[in-house]
Amino acid sequence: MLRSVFLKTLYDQRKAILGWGLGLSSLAYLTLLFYPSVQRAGEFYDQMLRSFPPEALAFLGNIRSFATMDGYMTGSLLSYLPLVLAIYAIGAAVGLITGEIESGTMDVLLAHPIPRWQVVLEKYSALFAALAAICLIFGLSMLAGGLTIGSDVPPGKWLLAGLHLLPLTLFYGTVAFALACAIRGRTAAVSTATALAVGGYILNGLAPLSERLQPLEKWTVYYWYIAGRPLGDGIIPEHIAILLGGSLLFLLVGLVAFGRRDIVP
Amino acid sequence: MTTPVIQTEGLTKYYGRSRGIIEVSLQVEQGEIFGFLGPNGAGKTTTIRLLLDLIRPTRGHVRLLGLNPQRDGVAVRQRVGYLPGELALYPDLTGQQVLEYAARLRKNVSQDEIARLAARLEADLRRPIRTLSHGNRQKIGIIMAMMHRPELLILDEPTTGLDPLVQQVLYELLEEVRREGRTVFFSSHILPEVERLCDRVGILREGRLVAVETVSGLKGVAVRRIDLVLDGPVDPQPFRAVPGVREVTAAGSTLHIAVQGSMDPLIKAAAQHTVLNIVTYEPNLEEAFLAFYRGDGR
Repeated sequence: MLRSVFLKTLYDQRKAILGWGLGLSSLAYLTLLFYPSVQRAGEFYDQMLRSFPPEALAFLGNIRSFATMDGYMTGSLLSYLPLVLAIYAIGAAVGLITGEIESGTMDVLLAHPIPRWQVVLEKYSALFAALAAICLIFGLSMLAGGLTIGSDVPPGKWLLAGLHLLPLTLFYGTVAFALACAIRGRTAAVSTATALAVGGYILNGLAPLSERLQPLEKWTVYYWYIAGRPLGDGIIPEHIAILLGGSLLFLLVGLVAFGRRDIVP
Repeated sequence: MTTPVIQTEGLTKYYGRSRGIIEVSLQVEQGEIFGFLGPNGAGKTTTIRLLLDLIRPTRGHVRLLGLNPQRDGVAVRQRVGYLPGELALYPDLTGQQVLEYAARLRKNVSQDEIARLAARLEADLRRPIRTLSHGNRQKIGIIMAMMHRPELLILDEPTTGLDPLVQQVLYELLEEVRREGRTVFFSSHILPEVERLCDRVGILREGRLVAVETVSGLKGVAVRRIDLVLDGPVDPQPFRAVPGVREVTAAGSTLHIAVQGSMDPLIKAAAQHTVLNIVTYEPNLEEAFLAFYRGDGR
């Protein structure tokens, strides 16, 4: 596992991948176990839903019914899960760069014949792989939950729903990663990426309240995630492309900035 | 004339507005052990980090092995070994794993060389880094810096925390490196090791390179102390005017004199009196050194 920066980094993330993967998985599995009873009492839950103010509905992903699998899973889990996973993505991203600089091991690493851009790319690839692994474990647990309750959702859709978390959380992680590459210390990277994640979610919830905020809704990164419904009407490839393209752009910023900066513990 | 192994020209580094180093120009030739001296905060580590391209100069140029460490970084670092002043290694890995990882990143490391160095330094490679004492960690760092038999070794205070026996082994290893025609650049503030190992030293004070001398040359500019025992009390005043004399105090018929540079004018002045005895003291590198630190060196 110590053959390259990529493998070493991924190896260092093994406990986090397992912890986050299993944590989110048990949440997904348990949530799914309750679906049959919610579905049976569908009318009751939907009445409750209709009584919610619009901003509350927005926070739940603007679902129309708890009695569909898409509505149920989005309302109870998928609407806010990217925010939870962003905690890992942002923390890991900053740790990979700033953590290694602050501890002093970056000095030793960069004294070896490896270009800085390669260090950045390998570490980023490991972040990507770790997030993808967590999303995949999450998807697999939903598949297991679906099979347990005898759901008719095809297996591919469960996995797609798991991986659908990736573009948005990767985007938050990449923003943190790029800032960690560019700026000394953790504060700027962590606070900017967190503000982006939380701010987008809240703005998305508040937009229906005010006509002035309404047009902003479609310009939050969160919207590009929540508008796609892997368990319902399907994902929106353009939105995913925007999120992945945005990540690529921030990665390039990180690459250039890290190549130019002073490494000062 | 071969290309200098290290060459800096007007190398200057500011961190924001605070001073790192100013206009440091120095050359280190192949096959020498060059000592880099100066009090804490003088800029030794800044200079070393600039050589390794960990930080970028505000002004000036660096060439290592004839190459630009910023543009040709990979090629340079393939041929350079580095031990940082505050060595940090991955705490959860064993010494063996750390070295394996480092060897993978280099690709030209022989396991035999790792084993040879580990045996010489009596390094324990099986224990996790976090369980090792500072000195034992330092051994892993030394192996990592030397295992690819680099043409240039850059060591930032390498003997810190090493026990005296291991220090001796390191001195022997560095002397071997020199015998093989390879080059060592190391910073230190331990004078006996500088005196033992170095061909030349550079002295840094408040960010500026104030002297580059051979060790014997440094002793030559050292302030030496000499006692003249005469046959009776004399007026010390004329001696104070003798070139090179820095200080004269009289105690009975003995004059305690501090002199810098050539002794000749002093001896000629003394010859006008009846000299019963001359007591000289071995020039102390430390005094030469301190003279530069205080800013009253040549």
